[in-house]
Amino acid sequence: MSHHRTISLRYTRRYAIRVYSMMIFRLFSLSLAFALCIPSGWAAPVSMRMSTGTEISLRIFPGVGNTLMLGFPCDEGLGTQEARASQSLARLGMEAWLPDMLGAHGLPPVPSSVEQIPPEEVAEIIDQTVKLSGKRVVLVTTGRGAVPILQGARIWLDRATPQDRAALIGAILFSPDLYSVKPAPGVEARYHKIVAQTSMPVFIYQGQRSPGRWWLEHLKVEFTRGGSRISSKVLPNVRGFFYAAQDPTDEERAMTERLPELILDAIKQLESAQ
Amino acid sequence: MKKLIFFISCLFLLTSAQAQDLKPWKGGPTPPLALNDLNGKPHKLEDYRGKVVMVQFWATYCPPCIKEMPSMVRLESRLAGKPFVILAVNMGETKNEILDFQKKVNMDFTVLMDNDGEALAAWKVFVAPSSFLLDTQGNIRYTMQGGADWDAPEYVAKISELLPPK
Repeated sequence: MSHHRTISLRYTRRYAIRVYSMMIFRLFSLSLAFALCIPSGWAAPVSMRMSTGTEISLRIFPGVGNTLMLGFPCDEGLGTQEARASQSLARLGMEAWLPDMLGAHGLPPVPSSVEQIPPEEVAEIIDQTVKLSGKRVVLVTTGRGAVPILQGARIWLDRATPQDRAALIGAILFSPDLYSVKPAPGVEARYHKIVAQTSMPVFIYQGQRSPGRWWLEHLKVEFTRGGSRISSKVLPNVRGFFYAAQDPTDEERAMTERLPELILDAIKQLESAQ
Repeated sequence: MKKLIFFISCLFLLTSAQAQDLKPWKGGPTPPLALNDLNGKPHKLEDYRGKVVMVQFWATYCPPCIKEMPSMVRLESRLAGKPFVILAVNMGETKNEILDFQKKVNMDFTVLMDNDGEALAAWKVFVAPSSFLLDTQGNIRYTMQGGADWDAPEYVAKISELLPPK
């Protein structure tokens, strides 16, 4: 079945024409951006328009390889270290796209803002990234960002063709906060329903110096119940948001330098889980 | 502009983190607590019957924990001579990490070592700091998530209510 026919089965003809016109324009913009992005590792400022009308700017770090990291914002800072890691990954051949979801909605980088990211828009971004890049995509997010990103991935997986679905390698979550409500002392924590609804390979990194470390196995059990293949690693001697810490220790600085290596290691694990 | 929004948000979070409240306990029986202190001396919750006990789970990497420690020391001083004790349960850090921390922050109360997170799991602690106030019978009466100025009059009054009459 041709790509065009697959799409037309899922959307009305009018919508498909609109999507394709937008895609051609964006492909042109991206090609132009890529052409201007020499040497590699330099971020190209481009944007994606959502069907809701939201314009989302994204930084693109072009890489020659077949894998693309779609990195969503940290809820504990301005994404400086994520951009540095993306630059290093691009030099190693892995492309990275960092959409500014919070900026698009005028939200400050705090956990409560991240909860306002519309999962529908995340699904659209994944869709456009898969189609425009033609690469295999891995999602990366942190903290409370795990909720809307996994929700968006779920929406996208439900709509995607089997061929497109294979393009999503999985998700890498750094210190995810997936509680449905902030757990009170002495009360059993309840996880957001997306944990049980996620059924794709997931890799979790958790800082050793964080309370979440003690509940990691608990969270993994919840993911497994939903059908996700889950793996994890506790990062020694660092806090949960080590790369965004205002007062990083020597160990946290060293671990931040290793972010590209951590992402590549996690991708290997995710690929082996597929 | 982004930095300004970020700064304002941080300021908001800091002020809201201070506005903590003691929540009356509506859960079940008190979980067991049997841990060693920094010198290896074993402590059991039962050893403290007849005293109001504040069981607090904390870590050296937790900024609100560091901030509230001096107020906990002041609280103990204010209630000196009364049957009140603080048991500060460290969340799985090494003895050296805690001793280094003690050089910087005065914490003149009993520190217990939860090396393998067993107490943390039994007491269902997800955030540092998390505090539990127990009456003289060993029943949990209040909990609090996040830091506080423990020697503030409202907290001293609540704790004093749990103390046995003279």
